[in-house]
Amino acid sequence: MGVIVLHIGGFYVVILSIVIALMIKLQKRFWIVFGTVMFPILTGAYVIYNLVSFPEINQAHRSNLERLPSNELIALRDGSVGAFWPEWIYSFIDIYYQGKTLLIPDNIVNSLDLTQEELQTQGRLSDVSFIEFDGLLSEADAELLLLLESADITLDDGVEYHLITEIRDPASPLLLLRYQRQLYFIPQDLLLEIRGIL
Amino acid sequence: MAQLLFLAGLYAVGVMFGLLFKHQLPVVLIASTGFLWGALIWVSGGLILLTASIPYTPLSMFLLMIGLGVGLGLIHVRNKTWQLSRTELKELLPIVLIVLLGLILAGMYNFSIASTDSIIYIIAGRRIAYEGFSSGVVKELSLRGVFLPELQSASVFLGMDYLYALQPMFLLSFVLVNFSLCKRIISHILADDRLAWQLSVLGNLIYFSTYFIVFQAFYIHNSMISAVYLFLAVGGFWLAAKEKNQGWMTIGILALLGFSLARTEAPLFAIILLALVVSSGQFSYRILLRSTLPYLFSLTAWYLYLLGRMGEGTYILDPARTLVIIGTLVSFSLLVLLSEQQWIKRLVVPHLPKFMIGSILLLLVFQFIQNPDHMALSFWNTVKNLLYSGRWGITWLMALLLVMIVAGGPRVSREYLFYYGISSFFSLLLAISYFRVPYRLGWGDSANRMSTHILPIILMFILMKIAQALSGAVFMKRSPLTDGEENR
Repeated sequence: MGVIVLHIGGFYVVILSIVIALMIKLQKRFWIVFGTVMFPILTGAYVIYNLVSFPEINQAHRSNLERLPSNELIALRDGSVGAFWPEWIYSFIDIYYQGKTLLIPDNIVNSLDLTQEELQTQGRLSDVSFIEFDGLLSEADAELLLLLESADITLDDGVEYHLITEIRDPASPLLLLRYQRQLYFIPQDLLLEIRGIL
Repeated sequence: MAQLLFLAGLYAVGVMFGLLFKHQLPVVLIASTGFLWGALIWVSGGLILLTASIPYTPLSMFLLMIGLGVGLGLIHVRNKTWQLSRTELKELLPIVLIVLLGLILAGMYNFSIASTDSIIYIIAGRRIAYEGFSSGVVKELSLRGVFLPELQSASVFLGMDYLYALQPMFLLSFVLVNFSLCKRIISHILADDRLAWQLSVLGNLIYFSTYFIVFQAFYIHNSMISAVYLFLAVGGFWLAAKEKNQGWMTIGILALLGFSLARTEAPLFAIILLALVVSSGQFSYRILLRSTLPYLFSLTAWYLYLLGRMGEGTYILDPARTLVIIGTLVSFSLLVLLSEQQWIKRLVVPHLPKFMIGSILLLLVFQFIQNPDHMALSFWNTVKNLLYSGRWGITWLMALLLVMIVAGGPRVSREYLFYYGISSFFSLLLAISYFRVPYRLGWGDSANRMSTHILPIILMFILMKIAQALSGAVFMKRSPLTDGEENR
């Protein structure tokens, strides 16, 4: 900090000394010289400095000017800084699954941070039902699901959401499944297909 | 494509609205500000529907915009403002082409940048489209302002995740507005049009070559939006005083409304500007009433609505702070209403800037005594951000240097208003940190981003001072308003 103040102070002393010297020397003509010569030169130097320093400033940080790979909200989020708020999940559910029916297996209901009401109001799901079904995935299942096209979100507490975006049958309901701290939203027909493979 | 059509539609509505002032304002400015008016109309329309509990749907907004378009068309026919001369078309079309080209580029290349706030804005916008002003949405609006979420809500109607071409459109509008306003203002000081043009170009280069400004053209937040509306308001008021033209006053007030809706604490900054306008003595009582009261009343109504719906509120805006804002707006309305009373006219109005800065400084002293560590941290973090950690490069060093140099030059008309305005802005910026967590180091800090609002005004002031110095030297162009004012 001290060094920076010294540099800034030195810079100001030098420039202002030149300006004051010119003011004394040129007197009334100073403002013509300043307005027509010095100001354009200062501006030119400043613009050149900006152009030169632009890439350096841009690359020095994570959040920088870079073309996004897609126009989806998930791509914007992936390139952004800051925490991911758990309640944002609902908006992503809305984006990918609006109007769908979600089936939540009974044995994972208690471990969820999501609420049925908000899944419907904010997530825009047409229906959220609880079913008797084993919602716990095996490691092999989870590994296979990770190969599918999905929007992946990791919360600060380590919980991962994987929203499988491959849709074969638009009428197929969604299933919410769990493997350790990973939660998977997957169309039912796709799961059956994968389990068939397994 | 849907996004581009929507934004182009906003621009078209905005230009149509602006052309109502064709006889009072330059067509170049009308074309440059089209997008700003279109966006403000969309936000205001949405606010009216939502607060009146009318369903906020694509159909209702479409009908509202169509109704507005027909209404504007009828007024144009009645006022004969729909016909454009060849000269006016020559001024209008190049800017329309620039805007359309900018729009196409913004639609093709998505360089959007987001922070946590950005995602909240987008999600709040999506929730507005679905839930209207539900209690959860109102809570978000009381934290972050309504302008950007309301615009982003259109993304749901368009079947998109978010509007990524929106922010670049505000920057493009800013470039156009900055250039046309600076040139207009400098032309009042300098007789030489070519020199006025060159100075305006240099001013634009300083502002728009700054990394942090370019960065914010793609950063989904309200900083750039607030900056362009505030700049337009200041320029509009200055020109209204200079040209004795009611059209500029209307532009100024509408721009101030846009600025005030963008952030929750913005009305406090807006009142500073209005206090300077009132104290300038340049506007008749009737004009002040006609211009400021609708603005003050509509903003008071909005904050009353928020107060009624916010519950416990948020860490930025709770019921007590909302009441402070409402109290400030109502008090200022009373001041304007009573400003014709002799004792107020003589004892209060001319000294408003001094009262204002004095009150803020007193408040700051109290705050520093009450919580010195908090305030000192906010102060130093803001200074450090402006100088090296806020991604400004050497911009603020350059601006400060130029201010120090031109401060010694010939004075411009009512120069003291600029000094009061700029110092009040920074003082209030620091004072509001007392009511929240201290400002932090880094580009994403609020004070660092809000400095974007005042920088173009400082640069415009520098340009005016240089123009004044040049005019005093060789290019003198005196007008009745500047006569005798220079040495005030």
